[in-house]
Amino acid sequence: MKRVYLFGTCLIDNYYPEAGLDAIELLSLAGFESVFPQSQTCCGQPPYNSGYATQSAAVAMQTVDTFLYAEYPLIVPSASCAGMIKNHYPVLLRDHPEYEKKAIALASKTFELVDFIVDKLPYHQLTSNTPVTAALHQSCSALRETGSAKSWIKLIGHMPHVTLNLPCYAEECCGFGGTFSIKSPEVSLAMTKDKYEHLVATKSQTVISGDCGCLINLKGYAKKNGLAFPHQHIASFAKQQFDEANS
Amino acid sequence: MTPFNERIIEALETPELRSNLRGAMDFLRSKRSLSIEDYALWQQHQDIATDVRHALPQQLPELLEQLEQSCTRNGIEVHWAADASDARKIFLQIAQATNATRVIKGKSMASEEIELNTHLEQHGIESTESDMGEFIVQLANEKPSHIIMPALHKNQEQIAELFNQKLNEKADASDVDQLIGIGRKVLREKFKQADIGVSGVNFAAAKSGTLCLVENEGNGRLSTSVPNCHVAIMGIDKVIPDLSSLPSLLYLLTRSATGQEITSYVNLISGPRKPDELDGPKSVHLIILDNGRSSIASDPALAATLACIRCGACMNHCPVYTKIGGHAYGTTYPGPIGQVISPQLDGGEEHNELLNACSLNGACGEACPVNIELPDMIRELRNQRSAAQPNHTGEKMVWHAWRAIHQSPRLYQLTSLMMRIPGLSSLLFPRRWTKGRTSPTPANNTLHALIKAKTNHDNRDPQHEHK
Amino acid sequence: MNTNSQNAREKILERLRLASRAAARKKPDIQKKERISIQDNPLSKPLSLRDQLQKNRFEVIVVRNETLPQILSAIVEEIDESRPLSWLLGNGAVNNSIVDHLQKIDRQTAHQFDQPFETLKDSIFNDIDIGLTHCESVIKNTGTLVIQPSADEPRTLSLIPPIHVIIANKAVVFDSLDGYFAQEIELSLIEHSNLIFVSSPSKTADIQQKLAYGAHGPKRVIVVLSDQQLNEE
Repeated sequence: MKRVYLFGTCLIDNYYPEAGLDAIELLSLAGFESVFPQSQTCCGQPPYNSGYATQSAAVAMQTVDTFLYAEYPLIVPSASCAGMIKNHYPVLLRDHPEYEKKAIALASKTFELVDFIVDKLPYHQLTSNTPVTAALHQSCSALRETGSAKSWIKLIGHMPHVTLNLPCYAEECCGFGGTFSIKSPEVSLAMTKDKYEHLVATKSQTVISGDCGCLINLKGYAKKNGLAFPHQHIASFAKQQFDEANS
Repeated sequence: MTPFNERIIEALETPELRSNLRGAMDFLRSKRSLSIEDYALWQQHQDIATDVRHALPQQLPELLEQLEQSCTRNGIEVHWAADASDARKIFLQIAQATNATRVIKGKSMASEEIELNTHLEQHGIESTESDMGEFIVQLANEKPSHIIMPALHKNQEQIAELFNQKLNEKADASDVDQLIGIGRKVLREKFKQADIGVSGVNFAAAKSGTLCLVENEGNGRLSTSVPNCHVAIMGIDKVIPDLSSLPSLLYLLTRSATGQEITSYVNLISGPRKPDELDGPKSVHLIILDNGRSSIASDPALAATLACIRCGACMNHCPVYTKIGGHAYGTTYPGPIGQVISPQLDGGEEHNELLNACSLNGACGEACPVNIELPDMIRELRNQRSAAQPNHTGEKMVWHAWRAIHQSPRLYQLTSLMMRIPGLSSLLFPRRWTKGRTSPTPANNTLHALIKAKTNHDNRDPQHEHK
Repeated sequence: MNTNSQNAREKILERLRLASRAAARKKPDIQKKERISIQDNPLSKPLSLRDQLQKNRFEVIVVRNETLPQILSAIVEEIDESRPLSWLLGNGAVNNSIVDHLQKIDRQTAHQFDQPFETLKDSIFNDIDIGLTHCESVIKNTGTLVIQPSADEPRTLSLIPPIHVIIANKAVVFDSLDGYFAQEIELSLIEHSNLIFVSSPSKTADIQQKLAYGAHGPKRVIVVLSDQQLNEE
């Protein structure tokens, strides 16, 4: 099997590790063996977006070194972190002569997980007797950084037994935005409340997304208010559908 | 709590404002989206407009000199204002030289920027806003909450009540035609009496010395045709080389702003009344305003701020603007472009705080018809703000520590372990987060640990193999 | 220009010259982000000139070989008002002859814009119902009429009266604004200190996004075109 690097991302690493394992399974279904370097940490986006580029660049260089060692494509089960590497590393590291070219090289071999595997999986041939309804939270990064929202809809929306619902105002932010949710908590929370309600209004069994930041945010809001929020990372949801179809 | 935060909370807690904003944003977004009949053609115009507008910061000195020459040749008197106070002085001199006591204004954000109305009132000159939205806002003693739709924060009931109170009219809240009729009637008198008409400038073509004004109501045309004297106020960034790119700029501007294929009127002015003409202003003045723009041009990372064509699409698509409206920002220009331009204008440091009210969701950058990467610029302004902070500032120290941890795989994994000590993980999330959300509980094991335990996966890592 | 303005001028230009000399840092080539939420909304087919004008709320009168009196009668019929109407026209031979013919139609009074605006101001604002102008260029895909105010046909003719009549049956039809700008704009600018592209009656949506016509300018605009311009075989 061809090898790929998997970047678990710090949020999956700490809060949704099963999504990382499921990503490895999906990659394997698509014909790839995942290599998970233990030296990986975080893409550096939190300080980057907060206006601390120097701090971010230091961590970005560590990530570049980790994943440029071999020529394997880099697969990221998060549109947000994939977008950081693809679109922002070349800018962030352009003043570091040693790393400018490396950043461009890494950017060009980095893929969001579903973008990479969607056309290599037989999602449309799944046979399952258990219909599922799922609401998709597209995430701003999947819409506007990597464009992965298209692949997400393709993968899940074409599974014969799955009804995929998009909430109204699907293109609007869930209010997370990293430190935005701490620095402007009131607006952020108003956005989260709306997003939660729009997702619930789809009356779906579960909410799926390929970005854990949004999921943690929405779950935190629901829990604080004693509300239910059944949800899954898109990798876990997809892997489950393949498992059930095979069993 | 800062005043900005207080305004945000006040806006969030005003249900009528929230629903007015939602309605207006839904309307403007859907109109824009439907006006793009042909995306390939849209992109062609976008390429032309983007080239012209992004080349601008470098060409400004030559273009402005050329504009001055052409306008002067056409009989337009050109004045230069380094800042708002300069512009106000110039205006007052023009008014005093003509013994003007009444001014009628078309829509002009530059005139808002220099707070012209207040200044004129202080000097005993009556200044009336004639754009319906601006007129409503002025009656209510407010400022515009949007650069294109100044009164979108009000609904028709609120406007009818305002007309009843301030104009002594029997306004019918259910009849928009009647409400507009009242405005028309009141303002016609003002047009008739005005000594000076004020306008903004959408684009000024350097080669021909032509001022381009875009509008629907006709108040802009009246302001620039009826009074004896027309004063146009423009930021230095409104200049374009010539009229060849105007069709593309208009194509994008009107669609992005209000979803129109074209506005009712596109008004090209290239001079005052000619000797054989019977109407039109006898004198036309152009005030070219800097007010901090020239220093924006000098920062390569932020110079594209000047490419803006003021269509308002960024605010129409901003989820933060949609929640809080324009007044909460406390600046002339609200929304994403306001967050970028306000801190950079003269005396704008106090608006640095606006930079916090952005989730970097990218909707503004996507909506921008001239490809201004507003999110990148907000990030850059955040960088510049933090670079100016002393090293011991709380947030800077947090990110220093964060870097130390994430630069070192060992420290990172150790921190991950520590997060799993009961009670510690919630410390990562400050009260400002946990007030509205429960902090997440880390999973029992990290992905690092699970992979290590499961498959001895490390062996597959070439970096590891080579060691 | 006074000294203050002169000083500001030097200051601004100097700062800008310095700024433009500071070489712009070139951004590395990054993949252009896909704008996936922008989509086509294709029309089934492009609108004809007549349909486009009507969509823009113009009232269109099509003439074939009608004489001037016949055309004017058609306009009066379209206006469809039973009260006496007061017209304002420009000068020159063509307008003179229109005035003569209008006077002969029931309840119509025609005046000419033959004195400076200041003298006529009150009557234009208060008494005139209809302003009439000619138009030499029409733009098809936006449904736009290019009005070129002149000594003969002043600016406010097309602006202050509540009804604007545009005689455009001799106008050249351009496909798009791009076409007009490429061919005509330079010459037009030399001859006219004011050019107006009119694409609908005056309107506003400033009150709760509800569209209302006749905000400050004409509420009705009547356009006379020839069947050849419409090319509607």
